[in-house]
This record gives sequence, C-alpha cells and structure tokens, in this order.
Amino acid sequence: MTRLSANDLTLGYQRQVIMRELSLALPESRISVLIGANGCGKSTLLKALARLLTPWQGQVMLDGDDIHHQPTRRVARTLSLLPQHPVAPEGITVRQLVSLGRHPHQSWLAQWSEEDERQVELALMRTDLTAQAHRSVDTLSGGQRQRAWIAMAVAQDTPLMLLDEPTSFLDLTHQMEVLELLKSLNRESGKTIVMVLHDLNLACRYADHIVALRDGAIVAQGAPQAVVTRERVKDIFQLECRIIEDPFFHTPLCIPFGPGSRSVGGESGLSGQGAPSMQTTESSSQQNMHTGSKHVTAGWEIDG
Amino acid sequence: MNAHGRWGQGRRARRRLLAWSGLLLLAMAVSLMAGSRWLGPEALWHALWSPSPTNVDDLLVRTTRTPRTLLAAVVGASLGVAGGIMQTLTRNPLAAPGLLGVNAGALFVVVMLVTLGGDLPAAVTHLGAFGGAALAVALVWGVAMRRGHSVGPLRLLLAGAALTALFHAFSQALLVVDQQGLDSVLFWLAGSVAGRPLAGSWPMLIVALIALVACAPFLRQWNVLAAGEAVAIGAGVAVRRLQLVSVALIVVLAGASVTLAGNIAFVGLIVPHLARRLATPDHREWLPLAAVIGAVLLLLADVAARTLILPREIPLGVMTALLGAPFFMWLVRRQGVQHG
Amino acid sequence: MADVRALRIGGFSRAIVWRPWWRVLAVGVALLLSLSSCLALGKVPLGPTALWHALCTPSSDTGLIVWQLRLPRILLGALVGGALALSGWLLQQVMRNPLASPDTLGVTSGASAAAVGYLSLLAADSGSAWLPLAAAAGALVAVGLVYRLAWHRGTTPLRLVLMGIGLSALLTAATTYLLVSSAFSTTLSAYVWLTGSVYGGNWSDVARLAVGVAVALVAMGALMRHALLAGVDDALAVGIGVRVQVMRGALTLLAAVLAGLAVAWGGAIAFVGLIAPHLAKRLVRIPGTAQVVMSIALGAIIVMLADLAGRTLFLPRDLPAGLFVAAIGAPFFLMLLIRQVR
Repeated sequence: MTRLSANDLTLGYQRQVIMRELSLALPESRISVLIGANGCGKSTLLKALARLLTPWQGQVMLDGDDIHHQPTRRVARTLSLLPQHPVAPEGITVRQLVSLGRHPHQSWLAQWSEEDERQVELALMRTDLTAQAHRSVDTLSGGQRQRAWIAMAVAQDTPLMLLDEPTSFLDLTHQMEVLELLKSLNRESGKTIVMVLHDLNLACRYADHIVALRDGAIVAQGAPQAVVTRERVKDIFQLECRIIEDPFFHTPLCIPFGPGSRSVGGESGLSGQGAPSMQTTESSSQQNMHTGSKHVTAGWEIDG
Repeated sequence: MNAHGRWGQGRRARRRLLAWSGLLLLAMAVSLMAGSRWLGPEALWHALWSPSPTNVDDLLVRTTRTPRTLLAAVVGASLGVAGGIMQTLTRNPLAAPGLLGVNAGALFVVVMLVTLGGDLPAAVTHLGAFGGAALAVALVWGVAMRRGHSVGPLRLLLAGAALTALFHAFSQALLVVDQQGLDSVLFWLAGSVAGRPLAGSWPMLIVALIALVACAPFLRQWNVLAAGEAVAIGAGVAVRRLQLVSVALIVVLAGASVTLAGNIAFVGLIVPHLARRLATPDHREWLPLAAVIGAVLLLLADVAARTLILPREIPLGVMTALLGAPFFMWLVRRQGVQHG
Repeated sequence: MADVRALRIGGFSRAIVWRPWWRVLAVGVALLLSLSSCLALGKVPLGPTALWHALCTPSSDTGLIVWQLRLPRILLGALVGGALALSGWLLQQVMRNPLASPDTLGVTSGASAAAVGYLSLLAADSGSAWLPLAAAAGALVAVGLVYRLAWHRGTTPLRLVLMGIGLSALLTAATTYLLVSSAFSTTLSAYVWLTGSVYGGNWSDVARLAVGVAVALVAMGALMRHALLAGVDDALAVGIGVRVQVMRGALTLLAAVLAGLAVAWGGAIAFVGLIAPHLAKRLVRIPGTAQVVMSIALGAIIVMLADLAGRTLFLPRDLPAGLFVAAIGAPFFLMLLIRQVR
C-alpha cells in the first residue's frame, strides 16, 4: 500500500540536473529512511516529495493525484513537513508555534476551534513540552527546540510526516529522543514517516524501509537487512566497512574502516575473518548482553 | 595564492595593472581635455608644458581641470580600495562605504558644523567629516563583527541603510532649522569634484595617497583573513590588530574621499567587484587593480557628468549612483538566482 | 492557557494573545495623556478646566483653537504615526528582520522623489494640492518596482531588502539632483517635506487619511493570521499549506499602502516605522494582537509628542515633527545597534 509515490521524477536547480527519471513508492504506515552520501540528492528528493520543489518532469502522486495539482492546504492536511533548518518567528511561544501547525485545518472564520486546542495540547503532551508551552522558542535548548518543531508537525495531525535530517546538530541523547518519538508516533498512530538521516546505524535501527541513493539514482531499497551490505556501503559512500548484526536489535551495524584502520587491525581488516580489534568489541558487547536486553543471540556473524 | 604559483600569475597581473595604468593616463588626459570647451591634445600639451598666463585655455586647464582631475583620480582610488577592504573585513560582497552609512555620517557632521558653527575654517570641517566617517565605521563595525563571526549580509546592510537614514534625517532636520547652511552644504550632499582649488585640498590628497600606500604591507594578511577569522588566527595572523588597522585605513580613505568630493556613492561597491573579476582573488593582485580601476571610473564618470547635459552639470555623486545602483541591483539579482 | 485566550462564538473562533494586558492598558492611558497634553499645550497653554471648557464650547476662542487648529493636527499626527508603525511591524514580520522598515522597501525614497519632483517641476502650475497624491503614487510605484526586480520565481526577503536598498539609492540620487538643480525656495520647501511634518492639518485631511487607515486596518484584521505566519520560513510555511508568495505579496502591499498613506500626509517622517514596532516588541515579546495594538499606539504617541515638541519648544518657530522623531529615535536606534552586537 502506498499513498505517496514518485513517477519518473527529474529534478534539478537552475540548469543542473540532480536526478533523472526516478520512481519510488513509499510504504504506508512505515518508517522510510533515505540514505546516501552528501550531495546524492536525498534532501532534494524529500523536498520534491513535499512539493517544495517543482519537478522538471514526472509527478509526485499523493493519494492518486499529482501533488502539484492539489490545493496546498489540502495537501497540508495529509502531509506535514519538517525542513532542515526551520526558522521560528522572533519571540513566539512554544504553544503558538505548535498551534501554527493547525493552519491547514482552520478557516478565516474558525481560527482557534476546540479541536485545534485539543490537538495542540495533545501534541505538546506527546513531545513532553507541556511544561515549556509558555516559554519563548528562542530560550529552548537544541533538543527541546527540535521537539517543538516535531510537535508542530504532530499538531498538524497528518497521516504522513516528512522530515529532513531531524537529528542534525543534536547530541546522541537527543537524537535517540527524537527518533524514539517518531517511532512511537508510527507505532501508536500508524503515521507514515519519511526522513533523511545521516547516521547509517540509526537509520538501520529505526527504519522499516531504507532507500539508498547515489548520484541521484536509487541503488537499493527495502528492509535494512537487505539493503545495507558491505558492497552497497562501499558503493554508496565509497567507504570500506564491515557489517555486523547489532547484538541487541538485530539490525545491521556498520563498522567503517579508513586506511588507518587496517594497520590497527593487524591484517588488512577487509578480508580477514575478524581482526584482533574486532574481537575486543565482541567480548565487550557480550558482556553487555548479559546485563542488557533479552533478545540477544550468542554469536553474531560477519556479513560479507 | 601560494608563494610558488604566484610568480607565474604575477607577470600577468603586472601586465594587467600596467594596461589599466595606461588607461588611467588616458582617462586623465580626457578629463583634462573635455568639458564645456573641448581642447585638443595640442592645446593640452601647450597648457601643461609651456603655459602662457594670458591664454584662456591654459588657465582653464591649470586652474580648473587639473585639480578636478587629480581629485577624481585620488578619490576614485581611495573609494575603490576602501570598499575592497570593507568587503574583505566584513566578508560581505555587498559592503561599501556609501551603503553602510559612512558617507552619510561624514555628511551629517559637516552639516552640523556648517549650520551650528557658522563660518569655520576648512580644516575644521575636514576634521569633522573624518570624525563622522569614523563614527559610522565604528557603528557598522560593531554590528558586523559580533564576537568574532561575521553577521549575515542582510543584517549588515539593513544596519547600514538604517544608519544612513538616521544621519540623513538629522542632516535634513538641521538644514530645515538653519536654512542659510543649505546652500553651502548642497555640494557635499550631491558629491562633486568641481570648483575645488588645489590649495585647500592638498593635505587631504596627501593623506589619501599615504593611506593607499600604507595598504601594501597588509595585502598578504588580508588574504588569510578572507578565509575567516578563525583560520587567520590559526595561521598566526594577529587578527585583532589587523582588523583595527583595516578599520583605520577605511576611515582614512573613506573620510578623505568624503572630505574631498562629498557624497559619492557606489564606487566603493562596484570597483572591488570589477577588480576581483579581472584578477585573481589574491589581494596582492586585485586591490592595486581596484585602486586604478576606481580612479579610471570616477574620472570617466566626472567627464560624463560635466558633458552630458551641457551647459549644466550633473553632480558627480548623482552620476555614480545612476551608474552604480543598477549595477548593485544586477549583482543582487544574479546572486539571488544563483542561490535560489 | 495563560498566554493564549480563546474567543469562540458559534463557528467563529480566534486565539488572542493578551498576556501583558496591563501594559497594553498602560500604553492606552499614555495615548490619552499625550493626546490631552497635546491639546492643552501650544502658544496658548490651557489648564485642565480651561481645556474642558474649550472642548465643551467649540465656538469660543479657545474652543476654536482646540477644535479647529490643534485637534485635527494632533489626529493627523496620530494617524500618520500609527500607520507608519503598523507598516513597519508588518515589514519586520515579512522580511523576518528587526531592522526592516518602510524605508527599506523604497517607500520613503519613492515618495520623496515623487514629492520633490512635483514640488520642483509641477507645483508652480498646479499648487501643492496634489502633493499627497504624488507622494503616495511615488511610494507605491517604488514598492512595485522593488517587488518586480526582486521577483525570480517568487521573492525572498533577502532579495526584497537588497533591491529596496538599491532602488532607494537610485531614487535618493534623483532626489538630490532635483534639489540641487531647482530653485532655492523650492529646495527649502522640499526639505521641510523631506523632514516630515503635519503642518496645517485640517479636518478634511484627517477624514481622508482616517478612511484610508480604517480600510487598511480592516484588511489587517483579515490578514492577522498570515502576518504571524510570515515569520516562519518558506519551507515550513509551504508545509502547513500556506501559499507563501500570495501571502508575502498581500502583506507587502498592505504595508506599502499604509506607509504610502502616512507619507502622503506626513512627509518622509523617518524612523517611526523602525522604532515603534521595536519598542512594542520590547514591551510585548509574544507576536500577536497585543503587539500590533502596542505598535500602533506607540507610533501615534511618538509622532504626536514630536509634533508637540516641534510647535512648543522653540516658540515662536514651528519646527517639523520629523526633526524630533529623529532626535527621539537616534538614541534608541543606537541602543538597538549595540544590542545587536551582543
């Protein structure tokens, strides 16, 4: 099932073509993550899916209609968007910001209905911002601010959410916080989430569906286990790596190698069956396994 | 930009500079010849090397056109270099003394002195213009450099525009209060190099020339500074001191220009762009070129100003704005298109 | 729900931010106080009882002074100030920059060029009756040009501001040329206009400007929601279903009309449009209805008091209000610049 898809999309800026005749269907009620190296066109693709960019050719289809032929307010009731570096108006409070998300549901007459108020309070609650609601957005910390933006998208109450690098500039704790929030939105409310992520391992952890891009073309898509392999990572990122299974979550875990890693690892580290450095990793993770979560397999195999 | 690659390009740069210097001489000659009465090369030669005190043409050249030509050349060079340093310092390609309120600041102080002080000696007015320019530069500097990182182009230019509006509002208010001052101030307002005898301008001309030469030792450091303050500090440049020296040079160059020729807009904006386009981004190449191009442009603008609507003259500042503002808008459009 | 009040009548609903309501109230009181002191002070100062008496008997001598000379001039000043302040608030919102003002878009320079051109070329034949019209037309044409020049598949605030600065420089040069080349007496009257004043305001001026401002206020009421949204960046605004270019165009047009009206009757009073919204934002941090009301009230107060200073401080001279607006505005503006440094 899909509600959002791209048909033969050709995108570009000015005279520069970014991608040619790309087709993509995003699975409904799943978390899809676009990955790829810098400049591969993943943000461009997300912008096109969110109708920020008019395609040169092809269409973005939302519920069977060209997204550019639908009234923008109607689209906004189905699809919300968090761009990469959103800017908040000066002095605006968190509650005001979140209530901006209600815009597509409002008319000239009804600009603050009870439903609006309910949805805004709900969004604040879900993002754990109720206590900060009266504060000015300028005074929030980075993680709180990101949650406020997500709350705005949540208040928009759309079945689809598009997010462009929602974890950039956040530390590890806040990255996890944001991704957990998105996951719970997906699991509890069945929202379709499409996002661009830089961190391959987090992408593998949280994605149901990964779309890997290189030079404006889709290299592979599907479940993380199927998509993220050593060859693919080398292909996409020009990076040597080893893929192992995450001992806790069973998702692929990418261990990158630079030229220097080889000498540390004794033998090449690329062909060997497990360099010394990796064995220490193994033992420490096995220690964690005892104290950590239950779904741990004793041994893990090296992919490739 | 590195020391090795430099000499290969250096020869081309020198040739370019030489060609523009030739053009400068040509422009100066044209400026001496053109006007309400066109004088041929022969008459010019005669006036310059064997003047007779009774010949009207010789007098015209020696007393009216020579000072005017010298002024235009020096002011053009100063403004070109001041704009260039400003753009490097603020890391903003749209920075220029006129747009950032420096001219308006100098103008305001002059108006204040003329209206409140009555008949003051020229030296006091000149110093006042300097003070006004310094005040405006200090304010812009304060806005542009907030603790190390430069602000966006929008904020800097808006601050400059607001500063200009503020100074203009004050100047206008003073002129409304004291209407006698208006006549003597109009020259500053419109910008002109006409009718200024060399006798009063010598000191400022020399100051401007000294400031131009004084830029030479800093060219290499500006190259590093252009890569960003943090990089410059990392490369061992005494950034604070360099910035202070640069600001001082801007004040002297822009202040001297306003003192000599009043409010002349846009030369400081356009010239560095032309120079960078013609040369490499190396300050050692484009900043000297900017001086020469600035001089040539202002000379030509002055020739146009005094010949286009004979027998009257277009004020030079109006002329440069008419030429420069469309250029500025074209620049904005091009950049805007490039960055989406 | 301390900061946002809901107003719901049937299907009609609004969220109203009135949090620092006592500050709005205080500014309202200040507005009344400055209105009454402007009425009382002048060449013939009136005490409270004398003022009351004059207000009650419009046909008495003092009644004539208050009703026919002072009140229309004061109201004209208040309308001009309020309109400029609202225009400035809108533009700061649309340009997403606290330093934007009606000057930035070329409103003032366009009106100035048109007014000075009118004074030096046409006034000799047709008198100065059409001066407001010329100024307003100049302002609107300038904004239209700026908008057109900045348009490339839509506009961005950055391009609008930069084009505004460029066109302003061009128009200022043209104005300077007109000033330098026209007769000295024309130059003087042009200077008074450029400084900005509400000299000789009468009831018909007040009525016309009031109608214009009232229409603009109605439009403002209708666009209030979008005025708040204008501060959000374009991508996000598209995301919540706003037609960004339409919204930006409508808000800019509204701001231009307001400033054009004000400039037509008040001359190029600089800085009200920059300062009043700023003061308002310091008093009411949260953008919303309270901030808008505050801006308008402060703009009105600033121009009224500046005009009061102009006609009382240097008696017997009557100086243009713009002079004192600049004098009040300068320290504030410098403070603003220094605050930006931090």
